Amino acid sequence: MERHWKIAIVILTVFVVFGVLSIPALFRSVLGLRHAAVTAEQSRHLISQQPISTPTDTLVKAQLFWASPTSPTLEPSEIALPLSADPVQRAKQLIAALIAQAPTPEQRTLPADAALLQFYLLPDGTAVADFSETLGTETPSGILSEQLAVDSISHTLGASVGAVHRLKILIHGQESDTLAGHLDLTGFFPVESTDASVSPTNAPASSPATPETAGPASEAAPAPAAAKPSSP
Amino acid sequence: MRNTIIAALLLIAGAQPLRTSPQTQPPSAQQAPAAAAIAPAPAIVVLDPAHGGSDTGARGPSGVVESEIVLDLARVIRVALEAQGFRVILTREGNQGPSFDDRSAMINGLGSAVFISVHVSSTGPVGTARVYSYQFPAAAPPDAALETLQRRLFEPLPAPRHPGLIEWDRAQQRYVDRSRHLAELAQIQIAQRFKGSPDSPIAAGVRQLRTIAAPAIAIEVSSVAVPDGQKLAQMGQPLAEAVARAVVDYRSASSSAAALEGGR
Repeated sequence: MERHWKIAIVILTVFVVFGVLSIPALFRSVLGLRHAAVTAEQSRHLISQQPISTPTDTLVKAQLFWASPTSPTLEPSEIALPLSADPVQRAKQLIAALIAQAPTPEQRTLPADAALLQFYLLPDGTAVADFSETLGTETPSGILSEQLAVDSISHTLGASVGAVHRLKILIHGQESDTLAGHLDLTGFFPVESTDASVSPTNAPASSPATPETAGPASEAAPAPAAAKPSSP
Repeated sequence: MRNTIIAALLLIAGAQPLRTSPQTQPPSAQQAPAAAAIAPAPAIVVLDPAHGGSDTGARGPSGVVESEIVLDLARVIRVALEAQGFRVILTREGNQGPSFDDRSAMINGLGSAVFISVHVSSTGPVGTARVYSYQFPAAAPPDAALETLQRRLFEPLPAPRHPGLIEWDRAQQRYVDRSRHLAELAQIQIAQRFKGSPDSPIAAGVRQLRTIAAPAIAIEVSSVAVPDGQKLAQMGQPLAEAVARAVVDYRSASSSAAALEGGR
């Protein structure tokens, strides 16, 4: 064998040995990068799901509505939650608990990755809940499941935030045609208030109203038997 | 977009006598106004297999896809309805994905028809089915007022605010009572055939129904969670019989009311 071939083989062998030795380190680096990769949606979720704490928080037994384990309906569960006296913060706390504290995965009505981005409350009792895109993409598609998702929010707010009279749901700041392909999100969902502690007249509008959501007061909408939006 | 739709509707409304069969032709202008307002018995059924195209709808863990199952179910229902003498139009014949408005446009130009949207849910007891009608809260009659509702059902429709135009975004509003009645008839038939199904229909904001200017219901079968899609396919025939029976009952009630009104 000629000399230059021998040199080439030696150099290649050195490269191969070096490559084999560096594979475990490369593998560890790739794994580390994968764990570190956080999508924008996950980051938003992490930020918005930080526990909401206010100076007026008091521990209350709140009624939260999740799917019944035995029938395709909602059922209330009483859990102790620190809730703010401010209706906007209180609503945020309740929706965060609704997402995070479902008793079982089967009873979950809102996706675990969904995040409430913002919550507005107008003086007339109109609430605007702005959710992350995950609400639309991860809620199981279907009239029944989408209806349970919206009803769980409106029933939970109705039970503990007396200032809310109707609810508008936005997805990532935009009006969406449907929740996950079926349920109409273009209108307002009536919220039947069972919490007499706050009247709509003394409800503070702690966040500015967006032009498209600032509408006239709801006119004594009947209690919803199911999620049915009122006219936009 | 909305202006385009309204313009298209005006064109459709103008061309309607050419498009409808003699059975479904609306009353002529010479007829008395009260009789003209009576909806003729529907002879056309627009069946809507929901979703399609890139929108597959619900997906089950065993690979059951809603858009495929609903198309199969709609084809079986079509056979049962045609056997009863109805003309049936499907909003899609294959894996196309017409928009909500495209589907609405297929019926809103017809004089007398009913719209039935077929869905498969993600959840709910397997082997059951629920019927939905759209209801605007202001027009929602409480259950106790059912008798009043029955009386109102086939009275002349309230006059449109803008004659000749369909208020597209609220097209269903004039038909909520009739849709509710059709939903009740369908749910009764379904409850008899699928044990565990509710006895009464549900009022919900099903988006597709809002822009339908005709009696319109949605039927949702449970569910894509079945271990085998065959289980859902087996529901096709009894579901088709239930739907056909309900539409026949609705049509005969509608015809009787129209005859009664004409005889006054």
